[in-house]
Amino acid sequence: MSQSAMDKNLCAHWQAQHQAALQRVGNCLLEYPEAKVAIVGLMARAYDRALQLGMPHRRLDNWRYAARALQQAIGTIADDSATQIVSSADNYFCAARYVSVPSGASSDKVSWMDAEAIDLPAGVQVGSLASALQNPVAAPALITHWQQALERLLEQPVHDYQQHTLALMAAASWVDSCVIYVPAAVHLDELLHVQLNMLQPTLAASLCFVILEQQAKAHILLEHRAPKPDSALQVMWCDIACAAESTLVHYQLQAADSSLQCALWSQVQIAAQASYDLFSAGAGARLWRQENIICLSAPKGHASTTHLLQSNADRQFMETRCQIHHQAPECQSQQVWRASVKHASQVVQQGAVKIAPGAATEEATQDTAAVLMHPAAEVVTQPALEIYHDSVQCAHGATIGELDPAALFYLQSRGVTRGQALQLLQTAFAQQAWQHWPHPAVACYMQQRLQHSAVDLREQASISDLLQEGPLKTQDVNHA
Amino acid sequence: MLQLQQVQVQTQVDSGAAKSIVKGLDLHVPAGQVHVIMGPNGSGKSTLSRALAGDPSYDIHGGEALLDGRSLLGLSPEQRSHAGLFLGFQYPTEIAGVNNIYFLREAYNAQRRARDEAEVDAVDFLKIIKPYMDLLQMDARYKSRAVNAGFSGGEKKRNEILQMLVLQPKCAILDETDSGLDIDALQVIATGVNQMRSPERSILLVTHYQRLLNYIQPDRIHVMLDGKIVKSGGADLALELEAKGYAWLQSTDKKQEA
Repeated sequence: MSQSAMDKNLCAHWQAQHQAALQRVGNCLLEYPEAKVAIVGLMARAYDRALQLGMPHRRLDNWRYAARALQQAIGTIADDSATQIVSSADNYFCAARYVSVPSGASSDKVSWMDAEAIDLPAGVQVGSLASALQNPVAAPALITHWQQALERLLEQPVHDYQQHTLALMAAASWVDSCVIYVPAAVHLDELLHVQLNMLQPTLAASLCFVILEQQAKAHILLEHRAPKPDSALQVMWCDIACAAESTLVHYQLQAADSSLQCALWSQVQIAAQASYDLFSAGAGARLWRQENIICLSAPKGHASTTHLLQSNADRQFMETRCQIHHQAPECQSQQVWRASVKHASQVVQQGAVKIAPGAATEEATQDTAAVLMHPAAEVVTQPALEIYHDSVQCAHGATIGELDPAALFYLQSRGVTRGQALQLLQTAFAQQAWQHWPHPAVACYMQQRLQHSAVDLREQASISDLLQEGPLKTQDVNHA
Repeated sequence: MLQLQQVQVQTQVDSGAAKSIVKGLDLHVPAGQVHVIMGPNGSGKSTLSRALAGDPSYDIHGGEALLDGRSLLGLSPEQRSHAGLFLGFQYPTEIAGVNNIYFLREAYNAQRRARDEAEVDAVDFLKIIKPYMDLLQMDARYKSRAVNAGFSGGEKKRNEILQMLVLQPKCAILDETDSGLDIDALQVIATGVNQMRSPERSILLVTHYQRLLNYIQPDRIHVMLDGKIVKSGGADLALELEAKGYAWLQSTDKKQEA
């Protein structure tokens, strides 16, 4: 079978799954004729566009094109039907998004708090997009940021902005969303753990906004969970804004089932003297892509990314693309990427540092390392530096190695099976990255989740209530 | 307990050709006895040890290797371990990032699973290993360190003996367990090995030097030359080798061949 024929088959498979899943979950939006036409139409356009430009795993930018086509199509829904859609979609919308801060043992650095007991400082918003709009402190900032984020997503200005349009756009694209808003000078000393459950086993899109105002501080763990092993495709946008002198430590965990196709985007804007540190760990999917675009748009900003990929099944394709744009002077950035490929899978890394004219840079480094743990494993790494200024300090290094057979034999000689030995060695390799996690308890949690990627998501009763077939229950998840 | 009959081991060299290293070796180590293999560098002692443990770099292409009547050939390294074979490495591999005690517990539980026995949890395991660590004068720091990573030579050998004591194999092959040890460390290691002596267990030591045998009384000594056992004898043989070297046996071996 030719490449294009395989791509067509895959596309058709996704579309069919998508259609079936919409019917299965009883998406209320389908009750409205205009919405149904628009939704089905935008689906078709997105897939056609994807096919036209080449499938995601062959044309990396194609994921973005498909997603943009979706967003652009949403804007064509007429406003007169918008209100009707919003009123019922809001119920669906609230129920479809879940924010939890699970309870559990506390460590000296992390405190897990029960969702009902959460006691956030005044003005802090953790909840759905719709609920955030009801928050008088968060709403104005959120609208501004949402508009800016939207314009970035659509790459065009958004005029006549209306509050209800916001919820409409979110709901109409089956978007579940999460907003984390921290007002100026507020420090969230305890880690906030947000579980984003992709409740729809379909082409589900989810938006996450993280907004830190000036001098705010927060540590956030965003965990992406897929309820169904046969989910078609998940798309997650994460828009992050760090205002001047704010500090954000962002943990991101994706431990999905290997049959999932998943794309994660994040765009991060870092203002003057703000600091952003990303620690991301993923077990991948059949087709998995993560893209991080970070803009150091004002002087003395800091950004660091640490990616850890662990393939956990055969025939996976995992790709990360991380771009850090130095747009102002005296900024620093570091990129660390580690991958271990335990099966016949392919992992791709594209890392770029782009330094604009006038952006004298103190430090910009890239460090990538990968280990091949299977004869058919494949790693492609492409670090890149694009420099348009003379006064910079940049460095990049990349290594790809094979499994040490002596280590494998040593472990097996003590009675550990080959599979266990590979797991131990994969974990050992990952320790190079884990040791840099600021919160050891978070690292421990994320390691456990990665090792049990196919874990039953009903392990926590509070989540299992939402993971049901059929119409979703309406719940107020506003934790403000 | 350990019975080797005309064992032949080869390995692949860089050119892809097979190189024969062990060329028809016979050896019987009964249960309850300690045997020693001595020989010059390159005689095949370590190759034999690793091949018996299942090192994929070596191929036992002839003969038979029986442990307690069960053939080891065709078994994976972990299966040989489950069958009761233990190899103390000459150069224990450093594995950064794998916790020493966590790994040992995994190995211990893997053995127990192979015997359909219940696994032990971390707390109970620490109780199991504590007396052995005390015997080997290993302090608590070893629990948090990675497997052999950053260990001195003596520490690595102690770690090997600790693993042997915990896993309680039927047959332990200790490949130059005395190399790189000072006198005090040698005595500690020897104490650990002697702890393992029992009527149900056989031990095969590989060594160059007689000094280890001052602390571990062997039942039989075998000399290996060019891939074969050329002479066997009692404890006195080690003293004779110490006095005459291996050249004496090499010239004797050549005369016999002629």
